Amino acid sequence: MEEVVVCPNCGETNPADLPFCQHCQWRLKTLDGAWSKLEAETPLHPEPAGKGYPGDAPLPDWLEALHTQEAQDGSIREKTTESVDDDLLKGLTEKARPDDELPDWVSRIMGISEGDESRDEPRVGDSAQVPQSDTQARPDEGRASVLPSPLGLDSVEPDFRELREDLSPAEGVPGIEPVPSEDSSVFDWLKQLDASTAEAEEQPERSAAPPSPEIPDWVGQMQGISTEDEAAGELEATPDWVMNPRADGAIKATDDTSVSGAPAWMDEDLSQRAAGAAGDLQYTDASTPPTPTNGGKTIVPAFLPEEIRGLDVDALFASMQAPGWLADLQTPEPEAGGESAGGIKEQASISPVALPNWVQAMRPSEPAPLGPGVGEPGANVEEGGPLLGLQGVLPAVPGAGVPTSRPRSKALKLAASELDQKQASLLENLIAGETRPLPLRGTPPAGIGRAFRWAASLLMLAAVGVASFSGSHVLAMPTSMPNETAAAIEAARSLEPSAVVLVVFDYEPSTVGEMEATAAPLLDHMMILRHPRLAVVSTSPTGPALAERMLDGVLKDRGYVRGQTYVNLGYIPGGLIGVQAFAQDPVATMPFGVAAEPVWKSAPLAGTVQLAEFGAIVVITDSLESGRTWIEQTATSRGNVPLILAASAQAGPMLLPYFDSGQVAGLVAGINGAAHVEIANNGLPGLVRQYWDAYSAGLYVATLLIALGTLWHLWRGYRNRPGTS
Amino acid sequence: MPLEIISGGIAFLITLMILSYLIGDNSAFRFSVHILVGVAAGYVAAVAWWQVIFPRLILPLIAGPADARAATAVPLFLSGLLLMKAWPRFSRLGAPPLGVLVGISSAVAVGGALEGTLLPQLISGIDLAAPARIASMEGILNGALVLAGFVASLLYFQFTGKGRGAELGKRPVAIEFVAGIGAIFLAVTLGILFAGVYSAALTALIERLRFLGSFVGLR
Repeated sequence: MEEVVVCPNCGETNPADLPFCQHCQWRLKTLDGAWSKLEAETPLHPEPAGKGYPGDAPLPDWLEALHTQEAQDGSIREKTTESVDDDLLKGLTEKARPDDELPDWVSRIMGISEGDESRDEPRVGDSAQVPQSDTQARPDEGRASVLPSPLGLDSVEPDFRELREDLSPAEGVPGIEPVPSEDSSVFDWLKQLDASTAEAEEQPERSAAPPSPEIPDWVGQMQGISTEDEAAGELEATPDWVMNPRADGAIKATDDTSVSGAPAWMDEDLSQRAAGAAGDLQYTDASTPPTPTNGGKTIVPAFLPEEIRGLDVDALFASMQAPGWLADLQTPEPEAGGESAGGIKEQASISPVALPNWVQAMRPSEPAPLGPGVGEPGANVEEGGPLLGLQGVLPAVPGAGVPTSRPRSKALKLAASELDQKQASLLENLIAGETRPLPLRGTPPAGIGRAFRWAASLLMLAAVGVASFSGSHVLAMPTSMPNETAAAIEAARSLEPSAVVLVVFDYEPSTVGEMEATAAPLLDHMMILRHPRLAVVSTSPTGPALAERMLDGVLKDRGYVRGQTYVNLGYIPGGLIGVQAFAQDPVATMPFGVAAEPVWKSAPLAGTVQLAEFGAIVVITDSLESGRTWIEQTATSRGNVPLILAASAQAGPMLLPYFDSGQVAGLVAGINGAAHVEIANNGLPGLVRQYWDAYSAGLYVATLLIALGTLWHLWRGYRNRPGTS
Repeated sequence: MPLEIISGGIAFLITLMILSYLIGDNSAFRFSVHILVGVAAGYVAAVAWWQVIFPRLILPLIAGPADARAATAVPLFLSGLLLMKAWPRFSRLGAPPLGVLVGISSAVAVGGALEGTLLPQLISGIDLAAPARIASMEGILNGALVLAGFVASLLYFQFTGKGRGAELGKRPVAIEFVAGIGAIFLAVTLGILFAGVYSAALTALIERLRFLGSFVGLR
């Protein structure tokens, strides 16, 4: 039963002897195992019969096709599979036999004769082996499973297959003659290139030893393998034209044969191009391929072997259009007198063949002159990097490609006028001034402020206290009565006897001392003259209590009793809304008294249900808002009922306009106004008289302190003004 | 011990605590202030209950007639909603009654100001130029002074200045002069107000000192 191997990638079964899976091309065997078997059975590059190949056995078709395809792939594809090469090289290294010679066919390919020292030279072309083509033939199955080539070479297959069928190893290519064995080279065009390069090297600028290219180790290993094992059947991944174009054994094109069996149409095309374009292909011996120079120095590319460093780059690129095994079948120019080393013999019998599109597309375009010109002295030649030695490379922009973390800053200049600049400088100075620390001025010693305050306080207390406690009546009462106070007295005197007077107590307990002194003379004068019935009300919660205090304290001598001569309606809630409501309907707004008794049917308020039925309205207030509220809200409801204000000294000046406008019948403002009323009342109740001396003393002290302070500040301002010492 | 002595003694101590502010802020002053605030708040709460809530809202619902009960249903409901303002979660329920209060207060205030202050004062100002007023020199001077003070005080608050040139931001010379006169009027007005405040405070001091003196028997 045939052994089968399961592919680890796709899971398909394959014969055990296959190195690659026939479905997915996955490697089924190790490189050693695959190559060892192949080494033992079949060489990779079959030698023609009689060429010294071990066994002198004719190559099978599949191996020949393998060699052909391999060489073709090596000229087309890039060699990137170093890892594969490592495996290949590893296998080759292990299997290399020191005693093995380099096969002739290998030597011809590489242009190295037996014992040639150049064999030891590292060959750049011996790069990674081209991975096996998808279309390479299998030993057992032929071309059973064919996968599409990654480079789109499927279209080539039919042509090549057709060509291969028509060709035999002995026939070669029409117009291409086989290279003699003693040249040990197949590529005549490479010989020609070598010859032209040799001439170019005679020039001084080529005298500089080109730097040895950096040959990877695996290439060296390949070289060792190739020198040691000529029958190893090593794969040549690198195109031959790259590996050793200066090989002694140049490939010559013949009409009859082609060593690699390339079709004639490809060789013919190469020969035509070589003969036609004088500037493209410089295969003639007389040609002098330009040497890349830069400033007088010879720049040698790093990745080319020594043999081709002096070659024309254009020629190298031009040679890329066809595989190496084809190029050796072409003669770039007809040479008189036979072949020359490195030249290609042009055969007249080679008929031109139309190249396929893909081949034509691979033609390098004519190099455009760059700067001083390609090939001219001083041309822009790369001195380093992967483009070492190449000419016509676009010069790099200074700074291009240099990564920068931030863009370049550019100065911004605004079109600012002179005024803008002045304002900007002004703003800048202001800002700078804000941050500039100011020098601290000398502060006065601590304690002077507090001592001055204590002194002033003690002076005030002393003056007022002495005047109060002494009971002195030294200072005279005022004599000039204000108009508003006179009007208030007149209004009080004009009441009807026993009229109902609404008295509003809208002041706070903190001002009870002043308000009692202010309102008591007016009420006392009214009580004495007209004996009115009083209805007490307040918009402050503490008002009813203050009313009781006044009537039971300062005015107790008048003998007013609640429920008989006066009623206390209590607290009107709602502020100005309550006043408005009371003004419109007092009974509905305040149906009960402060003690929840029905007051509107009591004796003091008998027959009074509307605001207009009151005899007068006396508002005792210490604030502008309260007085104004009663003035405004009762304007339409009270009719002709006089409204008399007894206000604090701080509210009196602001309520005076209402008197001037006629809205208020009279105004008693503070102690000063109450003094006049008390004088008109024959000094009753006498509270103002008791306060007057102390009040006057306090005023004198305040006036003195204000005067002294004003003089002090004037003197300091005069002393500290600018310009004085 | 008579209640008057106790209350008098308490008042005496609290008065001294308040006057201790002369030497600086101290705990006695703060204590007396706290007492004042607490007593005032308690008294107000008691007055509000006994003179407003109980007789106007509770009593009609308990012992009032049907019409009185019906009349108090709406304010009772609105009062309940207004109480929801105390809880943030239900504060939105207090928005309607608060809106009613604010709306009515604004209407009353605006109407009263317009009818009770603006128009009468305007008429009074115009009346200063009445023939009867200007018949005497006093009337003329009074009217002129009022007019000058009125115009100058208003121009003092006019801050429109020049927009270009070297005098950028400065007022015209004429306006600057009149504004200066207005500043004098304003200064006199503020001085009068300060005098009134001082007079009221002085009177309060006199009354308190008299109390202290009478309590200790000095008077």
